[in-house]
Amino acid sequence: MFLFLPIAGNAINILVPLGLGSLVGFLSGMFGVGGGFLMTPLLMMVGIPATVAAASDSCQIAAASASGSFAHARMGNVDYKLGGLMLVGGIVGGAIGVQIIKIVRQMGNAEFLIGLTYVVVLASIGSYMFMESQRAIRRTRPRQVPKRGPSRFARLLASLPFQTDFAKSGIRHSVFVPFALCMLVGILAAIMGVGGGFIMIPAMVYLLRMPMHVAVGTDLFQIVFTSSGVTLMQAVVNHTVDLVLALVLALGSTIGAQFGARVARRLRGEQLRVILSVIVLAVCVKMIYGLVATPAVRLSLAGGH
Amino acid sequence: MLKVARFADVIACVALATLVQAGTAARADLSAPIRVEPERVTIGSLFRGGTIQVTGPLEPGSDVIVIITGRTVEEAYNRKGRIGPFWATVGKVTISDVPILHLIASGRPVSKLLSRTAIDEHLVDLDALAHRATVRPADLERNTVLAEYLTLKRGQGLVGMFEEAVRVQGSSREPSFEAAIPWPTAAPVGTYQVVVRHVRNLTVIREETKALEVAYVGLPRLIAHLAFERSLTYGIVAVVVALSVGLVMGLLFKRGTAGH
Repeated sequence: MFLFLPIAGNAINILVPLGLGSLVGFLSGMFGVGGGFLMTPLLMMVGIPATVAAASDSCQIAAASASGSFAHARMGNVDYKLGGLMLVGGIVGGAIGVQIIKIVRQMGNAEFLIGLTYVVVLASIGSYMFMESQRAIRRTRPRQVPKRGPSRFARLLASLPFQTDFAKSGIRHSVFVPFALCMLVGILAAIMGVGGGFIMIPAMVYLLRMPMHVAVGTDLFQIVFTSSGVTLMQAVVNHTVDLVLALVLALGSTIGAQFGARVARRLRGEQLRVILSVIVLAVCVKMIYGLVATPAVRLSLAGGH
Repeated sequence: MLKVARFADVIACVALATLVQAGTAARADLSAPIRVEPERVTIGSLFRGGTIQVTGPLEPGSDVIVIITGRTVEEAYNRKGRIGPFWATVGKVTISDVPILHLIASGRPVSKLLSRTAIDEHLVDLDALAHRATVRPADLERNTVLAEYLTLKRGQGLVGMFEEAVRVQGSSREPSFEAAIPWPTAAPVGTYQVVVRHVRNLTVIREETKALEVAYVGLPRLIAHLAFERSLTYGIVAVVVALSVGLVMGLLFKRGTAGH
């Protein structure tokens, strides 16, 4: 059955977005991170214009994160104070990102910028995850980590003004730290059409020293708002949100996530990370090929979709 | 003898009257309007393209070329070039004086039906389209740009030649034609012209035109209207619908989704 996408301006077999949503949802449920960073490039590969893919993916992420955040809120895993602060940073970053997309779209290089950003981010995250998981697999016994004093980075964070306690997370930081972090992720969220969990959760755990479950719950909570904000701004500024596409993707990803979570229970964490890193690197290689290979047609409709 | 002569006159009159009537009938058939089916292409949620059927009477000994053409537009394109190892936009190119859609159907190669001059005059092949187009900036390699433009448009199904898409039916005295032209999903909404050109001896002898309307209906119409005319309302609706779907899914599956 074909489905007409009025914003993309073309028809697509409904099994394609449903299948992609299910696949990415499956991976999302399996690895416990979002699938936004995979969804947009996959949509681009099946012929959805990059700007429509990124904006519609943001809308789909709003649906998926609302579902996840609701579950985490019931379990008490959301630090609302920190989440609120992150939210402000995320919205500011999202607004900057949408304007960046608007400018480069007028210049005609939106597809290039989105592709290049993906290559840089996927290559960094994929390589890091691959190496880290390889080390974890080789490690047979947990290493004894010698006790050290606070690192230079930790001392720098502690020296920043407006230090505040975040009781739920059990941490103390300057208000500028989560704000700046989320502003950066907000920019990436708008450009790449992602929630940013694959950057935020490691940053919250390793940089802000938050407990894992609170990091996931709080991240999902702020993503509900940042992805909603990005969706709204993309709709108003760029007219690129395809609601039909987003809802089919959301339907697929929600169902896929349930199956992914079941499979994940049978695998070890480091095995999961190796598989995910290989997928990330494969998508990255495909994106690089798309940027360097001679295109079949060197013209593309300017400002259109 | 006189009776025989009168009888012959009567026969001659009847025969003449029959011939005149037959001629009038034949002209009436030829003046019958062409039929386009469907007369209106509606793009709903399940639209996946289709076929436009054009039928009508045909003069004995002639052929037809059916063209569906859209309004003349000026389109701006990004032109890709190498920046280091990457392919990125290096400039703009504007192509004007070309129809937004141009589909040509015939029963055999158009070069056997029309002279080159007539093909160019009536835009009956893709070379004629390229010949008519204006490319700016003018210092660009015109032929290369137009070849790329036509490849792009062909890929979208917005230009095309279908040389076995017209069939002649009926008797040799009262033939008719039927053309089946694939309609692309990427065709923008608007009004198109279905032009039937009757050809004989390498020239166009007659031309008929009928309008073909293409419009969104149902959900695509609502979404396109909101997205482009009331974008703030559309953005709010998109967010509310997405959040509602997420919450409903979360309730349905109880566990919710861990990812985002």
